Amino acid sequence: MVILITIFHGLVYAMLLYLVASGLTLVFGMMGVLNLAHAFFYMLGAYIGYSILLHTGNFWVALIVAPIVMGALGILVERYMLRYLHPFGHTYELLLTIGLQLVILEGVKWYWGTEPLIVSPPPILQASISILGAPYPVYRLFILFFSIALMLVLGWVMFKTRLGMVVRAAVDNPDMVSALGVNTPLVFAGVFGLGTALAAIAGVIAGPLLGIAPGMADAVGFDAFVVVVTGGLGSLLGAIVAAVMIGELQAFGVMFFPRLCLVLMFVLMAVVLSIRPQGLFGDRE
Amino acid sequence: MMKQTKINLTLFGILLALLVGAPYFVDEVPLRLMTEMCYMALFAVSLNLLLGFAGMLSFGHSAYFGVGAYTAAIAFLHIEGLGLIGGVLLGGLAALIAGAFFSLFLNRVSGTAFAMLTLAIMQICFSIALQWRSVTGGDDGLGGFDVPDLNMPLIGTIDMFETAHVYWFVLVVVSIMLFVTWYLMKTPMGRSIILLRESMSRAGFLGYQNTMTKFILFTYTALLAGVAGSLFTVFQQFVSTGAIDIFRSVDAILMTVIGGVGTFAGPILGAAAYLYLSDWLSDITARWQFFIGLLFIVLVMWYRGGIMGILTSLWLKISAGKKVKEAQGD
Amino acid sequence: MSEILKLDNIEHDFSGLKVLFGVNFHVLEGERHALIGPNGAGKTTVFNCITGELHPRKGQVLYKGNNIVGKRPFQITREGMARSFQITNLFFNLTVRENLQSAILSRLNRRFNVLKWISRMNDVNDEADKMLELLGLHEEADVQAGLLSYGQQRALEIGLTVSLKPEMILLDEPTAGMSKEETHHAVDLIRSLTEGISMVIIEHDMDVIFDLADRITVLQYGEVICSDISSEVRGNKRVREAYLGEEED
Repeated sequence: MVILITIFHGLVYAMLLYLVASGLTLVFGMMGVLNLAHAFFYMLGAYIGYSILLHTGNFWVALIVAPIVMGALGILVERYMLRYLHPFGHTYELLLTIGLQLVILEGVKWYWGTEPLIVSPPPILQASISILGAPYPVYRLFILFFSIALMLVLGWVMFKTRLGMVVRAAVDNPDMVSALGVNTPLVFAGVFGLGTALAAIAGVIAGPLLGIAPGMADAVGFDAFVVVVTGGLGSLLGAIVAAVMIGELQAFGVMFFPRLCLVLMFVLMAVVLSIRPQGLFGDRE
Repeated sequence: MMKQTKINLTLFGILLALLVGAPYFVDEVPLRLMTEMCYMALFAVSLNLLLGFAGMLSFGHSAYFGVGAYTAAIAFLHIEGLGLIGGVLLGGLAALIAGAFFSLFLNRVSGTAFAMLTLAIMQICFSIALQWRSVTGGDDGLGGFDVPDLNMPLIGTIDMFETAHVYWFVLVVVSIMLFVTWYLMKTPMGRSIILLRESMSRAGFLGYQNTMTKFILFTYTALLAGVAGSLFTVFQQFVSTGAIDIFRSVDAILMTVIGGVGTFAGPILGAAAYLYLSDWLSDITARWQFFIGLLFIVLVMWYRGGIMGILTSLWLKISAGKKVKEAQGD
Repeated sequence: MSEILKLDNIEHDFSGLKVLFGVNFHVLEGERHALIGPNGAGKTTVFNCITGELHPRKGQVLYKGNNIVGKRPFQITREGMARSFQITNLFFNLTVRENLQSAILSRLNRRFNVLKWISRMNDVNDEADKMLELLGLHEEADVQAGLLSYGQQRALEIGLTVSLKPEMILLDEPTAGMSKEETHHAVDLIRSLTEGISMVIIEHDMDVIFDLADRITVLQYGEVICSDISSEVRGNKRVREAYLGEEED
């Protein structure tokens, strides 16, 4: 019974990880840049969602507006900062994201304080459902199904629409796509903004589950990196598979072998990087 | 020797003289800050060998700093009669071995994968430090040991309780290691390292065995970081996971970039500037890191040469201005 | 004269797409051997198989009688085989002199010398100066390689390769992107620098080929269609059809 609950917990966390990791992996596949500040956009999204919730009293408004704000921010960062640094090489792009990490983290602490913020799920989702005799919070199920729905929409757009085809082509071979007349700068900005918006969505819905605190970026951030690296840089399929793996590993780890859990994550990442740097499903570089 | 090198050496000589004399005209608190600047400068220089000279960004350099720091602390705590130099050397040696070991894995990757792997390795070391309570004290850290006196045959014993004594010891050790590194980069070994950044493929086709170069590089930079960590322990008389965490790694990156990537002196200046700034700013606001972050972004975007770059271009403008004046004067 | 290089049934594919179908040819000691063929014929792949960048799926590459398949590029270079690159591959941030020093230091096996500064190694610097003169880059000695003109960079590219004093040199389209005049200059430079060194050269410029080459191997669709002395290749009907024929129209 405990096992089943743990599996569910793992899946819920996995979906959150996927929302965060999908943007990260798309951006890396397309631009070759690993956005180290990505998890901090996730956190900023959560905080902005909190403020919106405070002002409007409506969770759903927060869930819609925060990603839009963060998406716009993402587009600005890509357009005016990353793109500017691109000719100087990946190292400087990485360094910029380190700077962004610091600024966002400290900015958040400054504006919202360092104390954790408590957010409740919206009233509709506050109940518990009985699954096989045990009570399970509806909110967690919401996260699970909402994320799956979002993932399916994302998958449909990516694999069944022309827009998605263009984006996938740009992720695979930006130079070729540009030569074919596609406005690649627009695609880059758009995908970066999309990734940031997805991270913000994850932030908003994670709030009631994990709490909102300055440390939330690190907690999810490292796991998201492990997911992206293991699944394959640039691969959405790899991201979901790895997210489930890592999510379950975390869920069972926290329950049954907490001391080993942390190290295990990084050992996994180190092993993958050493043996198969492109991850399970990736094939870039 | 080239003129530029002569000028550099003279300047350094003057600087060194000032630094040696510092305890006579600087108060205790700033002197402690200067001590910190010394070993952090060594740490930053070791990172810059990877980042600026070899072109590899490492997020995990604090792993070696931490290994050195913890090893020195454990040595001072448990090994009777080891002596100050013994402890520091042991710390450096432990870090060197770690560097050699991890280079087996790091050798095979480059670019972003390399950066991520260094991160993973550091996190593994951090987790071990955090959880191996019996040895490392976990998140309580290791304290309660006395740093041994410096025993110099023929000269005498110097205790490490006075700030000035610790300062001199750290200054001497750091100066020696920095000099050795500076010398090294002008030798063919240094050139082999620089070629890693320029073009690994071309170097290979010229007969350079990059795997061996990288092994030596990773091991040597780990040694330097480990010694810096040991000095940290001597100075702080205490070690905790703060010596081996991501913040320590990021500090080194911040210092190197602020000072100027790719020059030898850059990280030294960067360490001094960063530590001075954080000391000064943290008195003004608790959110001082916000401003450091902003400064960092500004430098990365527009002043990629860091402080060294700014100083160099100022110097060029001044000397160019002089030449124009000379020409006009004719 | 003995064979310094022999390719024995080299086959290679990229993820299943076969590109070399059993390539055979040999290079005699001291000769200048051209490898020609239409684009996509597999010339650069052959080069990469010889220099160790690729390990061919099948076949042997016999250098001085020994099979070097499986060896890493630096090992093959140390055995006396040096290559230049079609896309200029220099140390762009280093000066011209520093580029040449790097090659000379490697040849003298001083790569890991930690005792003496490069600037104080008179033998290395004298040799670099001589090469600078030969390359016509004396004025640009302390200029960063990335700031040179294209022709100067190509000259340095060859200079680097020759500084290794190899027994065998492989030139990959050395005159790519050059004007007629630059090409003439480059060929003179190549000829003077590579006296007596065995050479394999990939080229598209037929004037260069017939000017320099003793023997020619013609590659088409991953197969050797002719490998013979220049005059014979000129007259070969298959070759004319496949390659030269297009040019004469």
